[in-house]
Amino acid sequence: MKKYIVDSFESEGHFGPYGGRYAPEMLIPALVALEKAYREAQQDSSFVAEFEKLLATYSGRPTPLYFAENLTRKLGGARIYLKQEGLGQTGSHKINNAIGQALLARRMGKKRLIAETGAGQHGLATATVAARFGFECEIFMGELDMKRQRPNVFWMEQLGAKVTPVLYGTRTLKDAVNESIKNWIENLETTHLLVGSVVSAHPYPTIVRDFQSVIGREIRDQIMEEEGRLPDCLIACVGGGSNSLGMFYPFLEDEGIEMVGVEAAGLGIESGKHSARFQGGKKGIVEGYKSYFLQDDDGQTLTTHSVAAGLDYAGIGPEHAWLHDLGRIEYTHATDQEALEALKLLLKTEGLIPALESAHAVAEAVKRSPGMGSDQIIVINLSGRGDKDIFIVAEVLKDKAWLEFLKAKVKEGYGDQ
Amino acid sequence: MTNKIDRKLAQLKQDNRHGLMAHIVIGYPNLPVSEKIILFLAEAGADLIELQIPFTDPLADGPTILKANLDVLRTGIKVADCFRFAEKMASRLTDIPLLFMTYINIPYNYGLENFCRDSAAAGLTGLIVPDIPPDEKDEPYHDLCLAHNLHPIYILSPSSTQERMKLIGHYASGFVYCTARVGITGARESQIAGLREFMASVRKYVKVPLSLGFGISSREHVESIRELAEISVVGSKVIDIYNSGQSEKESLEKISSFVRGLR
Repeated sequence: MKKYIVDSFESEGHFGPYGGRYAPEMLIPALVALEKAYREAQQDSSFVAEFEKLLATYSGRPTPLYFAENLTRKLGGARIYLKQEGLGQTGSHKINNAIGQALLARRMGKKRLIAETGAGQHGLATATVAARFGFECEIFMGELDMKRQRPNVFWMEQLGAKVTPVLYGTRTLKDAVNESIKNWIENLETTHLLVGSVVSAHPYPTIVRDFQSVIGREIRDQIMEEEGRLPDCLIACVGGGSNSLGMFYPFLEDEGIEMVGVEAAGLGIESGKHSARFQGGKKGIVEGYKSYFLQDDDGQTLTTHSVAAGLDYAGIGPEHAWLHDLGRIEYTHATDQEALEALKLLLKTEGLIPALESAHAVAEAVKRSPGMGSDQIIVINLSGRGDKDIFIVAEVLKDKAWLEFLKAKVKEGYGDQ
Repeated sequence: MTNKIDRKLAQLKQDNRHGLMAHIVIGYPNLPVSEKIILFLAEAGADLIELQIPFTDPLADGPTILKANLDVLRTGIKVADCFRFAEKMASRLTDIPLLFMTYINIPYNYGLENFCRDSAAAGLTGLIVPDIPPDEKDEPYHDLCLAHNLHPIYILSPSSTQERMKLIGHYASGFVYCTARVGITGARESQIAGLREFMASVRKYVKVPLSLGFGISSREHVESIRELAEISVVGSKVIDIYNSGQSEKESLEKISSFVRGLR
C-alpha cells in the first residue's frame, strides 16, 4: 500500500478531497474519451516507445544533471545539483508533456491543438509539436502576458500557430485557461485541448504528471551514478505545478527525501500582490478541479502577481493540494526580488541563465543550503532557461544599455526596410 | 416533492402552453435596473426566471454573459446582495419560479448546505450549476438540493453520449436544460432535423420536461421547437437587447416587446 501515491483512475481523479471532474456536462464526454485513450496508450508499447524516442532525439533527453560546484562553494552548505530542463527543445520542461499529448491527440484522430499559456513556454511547446505533427494550432494567452512575453508570441506565430489574446478578467493565465476551455467546448470533434500543467478536470492532472515524471526518473538514475545515493532535498518552483510534480513524483514514497515547492511571493505576501496559494488561499472548485485558490470571501478568484508569468496563477494542481495537506511536500515562497537576486547569482557563479520561474527555486536553495551539511545533496529543477525573459529582466534591472539599444533600433527604422 | 417549478410545469401542460424561461445576471447593469428587467420580463410573460450570481470564472458562458458577470463584479456586488435581491424578487413574483444560476465555487465557498438552505428560504425553487455533474460524488450537492426542496437542474448537449443521457435521466429533477448550438438563425431544415434527433434521444432517457436554449431570437424559432421541448430558454439575448437600447427606458421596452413577440 502506497502512502502518498494515489491510483487516480481508481479514485476518478480525486487526490484525497481534491481534484475531481467539476466540468460542464458538454465537456464530460470528451474528458471520458481522453481518459480512455490515455489508458489504452499507456498499455501500448509502441506509443510509449515513440514518446521516448521523440524525447530523446527531438527534445534532447535526458537533460543533464549538473553539479553546481561554484554555487555549492559560494553557499557553503549542501552539494547542489541542477537538473537542466532548460536544455530541452523550446527551452523548458513543457515540451515533455506537449510531445506526449500531441501523440495522444494524433491517436484520437484530432486535427487541431489548442492550449492556454502564461509565460508562453507551454504555448511555444504546443506550437512546436503542432508544427512537427501537422496539427492546426491556436494558443490562448492573456493580453498582459502577451505584452511581457513577446519573444514567445513571435516564435509561436512563426511556428504557424494563431495566438489569440484574452482581453478579459486578469488578462493572465487564469483567463487563458477559461478561454481555451470555452474554445474546446465549441470544437470538441476536431480539437484536443493540450493542458499544460497538472490542473483542470480529470484526467488532465494525471496525464500531465505522468508525462512530466520523466524528470524525476532521470534524476534518480543520474544522482545514483554521480553520488551513489539519492538526494536529501528536491526543490522546484510551483505555478500550476507540473515541473515540480514531474520532479517529485518518482520520489514520493522515499520518505527520507525532503521536497520543497516554491510559490511566487511577488511583491511580498503581506502586500497581497503574490501568487502563493498556500499563503492565504483557501479551498475552492474552479476551472474543473478542487484545490487551493486565491479568492475573496465570496469565492471570487483574485488577481495574482509575479514577475514570472509562469507562476502568476490563482490555482494549484490538486495533487499538490493533497501532498500539502499530508505534509509530504513543504511549500515555501520567494519574492520577485529574491528570484532576481538568485538569477544574478546563478549567472555569475555558474554562467547559467535560469527562467524567472526557476529562479524562485534557486532562491530557496540560497536560503536553505547554508544550514545543511556538506555531505548532503540538494537537487534544484531548473525548469526553463531564461533567454526569453530578456525584456523583463533588463527592465527590472534598469539596464540602460538595453533600453538605449531598443530605442536606437526603433529610431534607425528597425523593421521598416 | 413538489415545488413552484412542478406547479408551473403542470399548469403549462394543462393549458397546453409552451413555456418561456428568461435569464438575467443579478446586478447587471446595476441592482435597481436588473430588478426592473425582471419585472418587465414577468409582465411580458416569462414563465420562469434564472437569476445568475456573478462569478469571476464563468466557464460555460459566452462573451455577452461573461462580460456582464465581470462588469457586475467590478461594482462590488456580494453574494449576500444576490440573496437579498432574490428574496425581494421572489416575494413580488409569487407565480414565477426563480432559479439561481451560478458556478460551484460560489455555493462551495458559501457552504453547500447553507447555500441550499438560504436559497430555499429566499424563495428560490431550483439551482442551475453547470460545473457540478451529478456523478461527482465528492460533494453532496444533489442530495442537499433535494433536502431543501430545490430542483438541481442538469444540462445535456448534443455532445452528450447516451450513457450521459441515461445518467442525467436518473438524477433529473424538475426539468433538464438542453443546450443546442446549431446556429439556428437562418436555420436550414437539416439543422432542425439534427436538433430533433438530439431531443428525441434525450426523451428516450429523460422522463422530466425539457427546456431548450440555443439563441432564440424570433417567434419562428420558438414555433419550430414547440414540439421538441416544454420550455424555451432566452439567455444572453436579453442582455444583448438591453445593451442595444439608447436609454434605460428604451432598453426595457425593447426587452418587453421582444419577449411579447415570442409568445
